[in-house]
Amino acid sequence: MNDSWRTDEQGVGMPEGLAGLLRGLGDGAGLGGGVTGSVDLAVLGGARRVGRRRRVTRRAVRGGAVAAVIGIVGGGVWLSGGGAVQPGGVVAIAEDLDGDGLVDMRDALILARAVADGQGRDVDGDGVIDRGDVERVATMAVSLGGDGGGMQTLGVVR
Amino acid sequence: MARKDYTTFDDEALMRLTARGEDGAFAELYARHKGWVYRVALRMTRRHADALDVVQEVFAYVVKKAPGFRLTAKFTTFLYPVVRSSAAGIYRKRREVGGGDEIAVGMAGDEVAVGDGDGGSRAAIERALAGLGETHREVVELRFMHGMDLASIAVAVGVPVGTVKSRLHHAIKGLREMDGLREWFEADQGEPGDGVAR
Repeated sequence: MNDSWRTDEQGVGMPEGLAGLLRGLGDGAGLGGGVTGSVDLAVLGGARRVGRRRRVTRRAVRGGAVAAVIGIVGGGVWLSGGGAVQPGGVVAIAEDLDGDGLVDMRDALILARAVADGQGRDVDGDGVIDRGDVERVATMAVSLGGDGGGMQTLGVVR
Repeated sequence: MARKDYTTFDDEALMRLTARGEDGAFAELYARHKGWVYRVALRMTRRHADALDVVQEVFAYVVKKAPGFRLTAKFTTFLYPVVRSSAAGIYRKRREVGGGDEIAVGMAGDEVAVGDGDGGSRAAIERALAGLGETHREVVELRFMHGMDLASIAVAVGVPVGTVKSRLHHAIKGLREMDGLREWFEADQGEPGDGVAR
């Protein structure tokens, strides 16, 4: 296909000089004045407001997912009364409480019950075993594999 | 944290980042394309102020459309129908409040004025383009003023490529017949003269 600047396929060409003038008109040479600074501010300001709302929404969705998991975990601890930190086992990933090779809601549940019993594991490394450690495991459980299916670990070493 | 260099991202990536709320990505996208949008809008509305309104509307639309956006053509191809729709709306509103719709060639102030130097030629071209039908004028402007290829024009305007070619053929043929432009075509065929219409 002849897609040259000057001619169309039927050979009725646009003269080069005329094409150049048309191009100049398209470039707005000397005409109009261009986009003003006030328009730039308005456009970018509007976009920033929308962007801020989107970032807040994303954080809220993530936070909501974590809160939901913690709520489920807390409910599970209350209802089941079972589970415990595996004694003596060494796991490749600290957050993999049950050592099954996955960091998932079961691990969050186990840790939540252990913390409630005054035990547990300091998975977030802050020197304190508390709700923050449960939140860390819950966050990992929901951050990958959006169905809460969990994050594959490197494996278990016992 | 080091600032991202958004200049290295393509338009689709910038849209994705805009959807995530990254202001710098949108700022880069805006900087890249605001001039083009303004020039196309100016051709359509013939008024500087209206063209600025179009720029604002178009980029507000871009921000709104960012989530889930998939770029299947050039970004300007996506923008063109948005510009056209926005310009048409503003033009309609202007007519409703009694504004003129005359060609703004040679008018002062806020209107688009003819540049100096080739003023006579430009005036002749503007008159000739005004004499074409809207669909023919559109393809000539997209092809020769805004540098779009035939495939992009087809997508932007929403017709097959064959239709674009046909419109272009008839538009150029029409321009050949018009006063003030005939000399360009005759000069191009090797007639004496410098090809500049006076």
